Amino acid sequence: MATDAAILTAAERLAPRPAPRWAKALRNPRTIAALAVILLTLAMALCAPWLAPHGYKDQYRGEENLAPGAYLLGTDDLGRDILSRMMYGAQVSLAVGLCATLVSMLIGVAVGLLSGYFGGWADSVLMRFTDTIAAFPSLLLAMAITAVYDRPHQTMAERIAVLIFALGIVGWTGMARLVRSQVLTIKGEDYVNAARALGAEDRHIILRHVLPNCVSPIIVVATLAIGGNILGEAGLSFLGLGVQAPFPSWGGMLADARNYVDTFWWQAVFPGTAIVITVLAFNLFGDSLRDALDPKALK
Amino acid sequence: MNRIGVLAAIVLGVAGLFLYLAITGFSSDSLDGKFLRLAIDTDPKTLDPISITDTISDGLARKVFNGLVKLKKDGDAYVPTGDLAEKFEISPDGTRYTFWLRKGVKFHNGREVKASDFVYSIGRLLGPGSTRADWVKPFVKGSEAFFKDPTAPLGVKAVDDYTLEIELEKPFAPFIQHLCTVNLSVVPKECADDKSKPFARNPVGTGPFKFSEWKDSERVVLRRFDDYFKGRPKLDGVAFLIVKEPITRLRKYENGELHATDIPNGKVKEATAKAGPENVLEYTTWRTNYIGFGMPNGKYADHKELQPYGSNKLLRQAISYAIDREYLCTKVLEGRGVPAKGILPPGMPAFKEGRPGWPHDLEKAKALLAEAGYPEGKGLPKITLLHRNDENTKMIVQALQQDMEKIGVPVELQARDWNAFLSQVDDNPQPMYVLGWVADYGDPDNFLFVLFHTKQWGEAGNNTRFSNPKVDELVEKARGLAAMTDRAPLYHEAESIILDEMPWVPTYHVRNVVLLRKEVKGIREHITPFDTGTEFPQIDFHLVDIE
Amino acid sequence: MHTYLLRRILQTLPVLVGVALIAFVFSELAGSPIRGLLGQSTSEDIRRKVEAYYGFDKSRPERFLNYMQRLSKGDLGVSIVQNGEPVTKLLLGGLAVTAKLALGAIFIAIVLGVSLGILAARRPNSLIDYGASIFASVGVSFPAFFLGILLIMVFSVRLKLLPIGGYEEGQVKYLILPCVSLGLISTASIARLTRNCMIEALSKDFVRLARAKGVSEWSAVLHHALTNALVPVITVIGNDFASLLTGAVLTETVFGLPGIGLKLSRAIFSHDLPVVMGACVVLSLIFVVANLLVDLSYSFLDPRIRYGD
Repeated sequence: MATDAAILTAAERLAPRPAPRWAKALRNPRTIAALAVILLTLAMALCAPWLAPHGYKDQYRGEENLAPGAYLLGTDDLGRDILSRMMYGAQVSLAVGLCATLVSMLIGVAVGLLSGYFGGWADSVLMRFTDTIAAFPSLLLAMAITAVYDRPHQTMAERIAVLIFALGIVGWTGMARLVRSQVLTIKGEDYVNAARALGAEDRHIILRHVLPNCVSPIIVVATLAIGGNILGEAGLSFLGLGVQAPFPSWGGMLADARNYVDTFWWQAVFPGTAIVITVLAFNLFGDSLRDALDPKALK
Repeated sequence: MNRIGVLAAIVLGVAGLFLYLAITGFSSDSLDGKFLRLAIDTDPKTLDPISITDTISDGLARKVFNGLVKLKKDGDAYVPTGDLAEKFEISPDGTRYTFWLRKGVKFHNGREVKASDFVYSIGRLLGPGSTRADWVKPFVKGSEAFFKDPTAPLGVKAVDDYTLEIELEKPFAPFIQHLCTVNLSVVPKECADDKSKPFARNPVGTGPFKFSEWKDSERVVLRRFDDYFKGRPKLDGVAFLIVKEPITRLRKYENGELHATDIPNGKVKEATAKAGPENVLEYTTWRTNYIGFGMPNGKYADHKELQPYGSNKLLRQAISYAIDREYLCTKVLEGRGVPAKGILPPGMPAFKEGRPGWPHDLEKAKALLAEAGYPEGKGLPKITLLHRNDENTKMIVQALQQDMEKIGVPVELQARDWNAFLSQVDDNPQPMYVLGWVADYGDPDNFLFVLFHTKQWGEAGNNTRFSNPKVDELVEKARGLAAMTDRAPLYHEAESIILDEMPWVPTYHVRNVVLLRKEVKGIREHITPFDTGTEFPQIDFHLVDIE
Repeated sequence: MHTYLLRRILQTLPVLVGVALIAFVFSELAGSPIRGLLGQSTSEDIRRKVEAYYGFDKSRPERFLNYMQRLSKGDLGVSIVQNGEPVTKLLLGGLAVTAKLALGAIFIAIVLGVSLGILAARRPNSLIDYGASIFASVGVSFPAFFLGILLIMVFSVRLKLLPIGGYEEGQVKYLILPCVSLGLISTASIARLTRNCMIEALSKDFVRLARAKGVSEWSAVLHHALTNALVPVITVIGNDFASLLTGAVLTETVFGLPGIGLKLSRAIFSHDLPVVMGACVVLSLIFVVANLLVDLSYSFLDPRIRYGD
């Protein structure tokens, strides 16, 4: 056994390792700006209970629909501070955006690896399944899922889990196809053949040789998917499928503001802008990562 | 073909196709002539009288159909009077109803209405696809058997072409009111049975307007029926534009594209001021909105989630005093509500004047809370407030939540869509929910029996599972009496008991504030408390005109 | 080529059956729409009769088989909530509106996107290039419904040029803002792709040759630009088709356009199972066909890509 292990290690040495290029990515001012926005939003979300000037559901009667001023970003139709609600709303957007991406990454990587590595009927079945999911317009499927999983006495955490699950389960097909194509290339490489010839188990080859070589594209694609998932959450909330009121979400605040587009513009403009800026930051950050980690392959 | 050519072809093709489709569209009826243009926020669910349960379908169908009787204003009351029936008579024992029909009334297909058409239509209400068999069953003789087997004899018969007789199992005073609902309209058998044209989408009736066009999510168009039995309608037609967004409806009104509209949340003051008082129509409807509390009665005794709010009436009373109904009505609803002081809406028969209601009083609320055993709300578990997931309700429950939390009652909101909401409150009593009830007809039985009698538990209407033997006895007794003067005291007493037990915390009665152009005649002066929305179901539309 | 086509078409069949199955499972979990039909006060035996009338008394496998049987004959059934309206008719009406929306959006996206891409590529790293790249980045980050609301604020509320929403057959004014708000988002990706393809092409020798020959710079750029813009345009139309349909749901909601997205979301909220399932099947079919067409057009446009070996 010991010899086998030694030989395998030798084979691994043949495998090309992606060189860390993180440092390079961070030298770009665009990346720094994007990262700063992301961190700032994250900090605002996490510290909302301490930073927010008011509670998210505190209604100040008689102070409804105030323009920005005494309340920094104005108040809504029930007299609640919009800034505070946006800070709490960031919790939902970020939690759902990040976790949904994680879920779709896990599913996508698993399906892509299995499908690409084993080929044959497993590949056919998994790819047909992928096609089926991809054939649904994603938001509609997410709508159906969130509408169905609307059980009595659902808690806040459960609702967020449903949103994560819904967006995660519709968003993995691109990742699966990418990983599959990467695996198909890697599978033909000499060091993988060498490892297999030496009797390495499939699990070992997948985890030690194939997966590490897919890491950069996976990270890039996942980062770029975060923005999409934040948009997805905003869309679902806008349609009334998001978290339970009075807890705020950016999409929900936009929906509430729809009647007031001609009078109280701030009620729509600020939450909307928050969505754009956050998504933009994640997209720019993803672009930078792509440029730095894998300038050719992913273009 | 080179690539530039292909690109140009794609661009031109897309643009051309777009323009062609956008401009031509499918052919549809033009609305030239004197059309009253009204807006509805969603499609009617159906225009077949036997399956109508929503107010929009009701409002539209009433312009196409007629029944035996309809409500007519008489002083302050609304009493059933003849519509297609010239007159009617109820036997002294209250079980035999005889209707003498008008002669020469025509369906839109030209055929004359006979008594046999009513026999068919009432039987049809007990048949498949009907959602409102409750109006007839179990009151009409033989209806239970007929419901299960349509060959069984039913107590509805055509004595001759113009005389109809309905026999009841036992006296039931509100039955004549049931006959005023749209569900008991007369329909022609040859059209209703025609499978090639679903009747729900191709209705044929006797009303002042005949159905002309229904484009899903776009509009429903009705056109004048020249042979209407009360005379030729003054309008050429009525167009119902389906406009989902409230703000868009208001804009369309302001641009002159609509004759009437409701007003979006937060815009009532602004819109009414802009339109001027002569274009505003305001009246209180017979709708009571309330907070319901599930009661741990009967088989629900061991439902833990109903404790302690369902078993301790002092808690419910404390909540009633904590609610700032004035703020709700004037600020949140901008005048579209009247603080409720009881269950029956003002103006309804047997409405009792002078009930004190529950003026907003935090001290009293806190005192009641302490008396209930929870001073400052200490030890009170969080209660879930279930509500319907629509924009209006969402706003109201958030205001209610704030009111209750102010005295220390911790509340958690839960929104569900209409279908899921109904299933939930029907299947099990809910700790707390927000709902409203609009009178189907002008009789207190429609509130106090339907919603509070023990027999009505669950989907039949008593969602709180309230149960009180005295109330059961009173409302049952009142049902069998003919004169309102005899019935009213019984209803007063029943209502007082319910208000003390408080399965409901009544919040407000809905006030309809809509814009209606002053040129439109024949609506404003005849408006009734049943006329929710801007479909005006109770108005005689053959008299409506645009100057 | 023919075998390839045949294989692709055969592959879509299991996909469609899968879509129908998934749609059925979700519809079933959502529960029947009967309570909503009945309203607030009905006795239990009446509910049971109505449930039986709509076939809810049968077992689930039986209902799914019935559905698939009818589907194979091209019958999508009738709506329950919209009382008996054939689903096919309902969806076709919606598709007619959505098609207009999507076509208008694609048109805007192509014209604007290609022009922006050309401008940016002509002077890489110039102000225009940066501007275009910022526009592209912001564009993909914009939720279509927020863009719609902003457009309403400017063009309907402030300038009072266009209606705030609603729809009437045959009137272009109701479609302008929805098409713009949906189209601008794809504009960004088309611009970005066109720019990259152009820069690559312009650096090639034959362009330099054209310049040396004295062909004016603009005509060289334009010629190659348009030649090379084609592939990105088709790619984006193909890739964005799903997101266009998705975006259409939200855009239709904001503007109240009676397209298929609005009808589907209405059906989801009212548990109108036949409509939900029908819409899923129809949308997936459109999507699959669109993908097939895009793949085929590649092989037509780029002789290097061949199928069927």
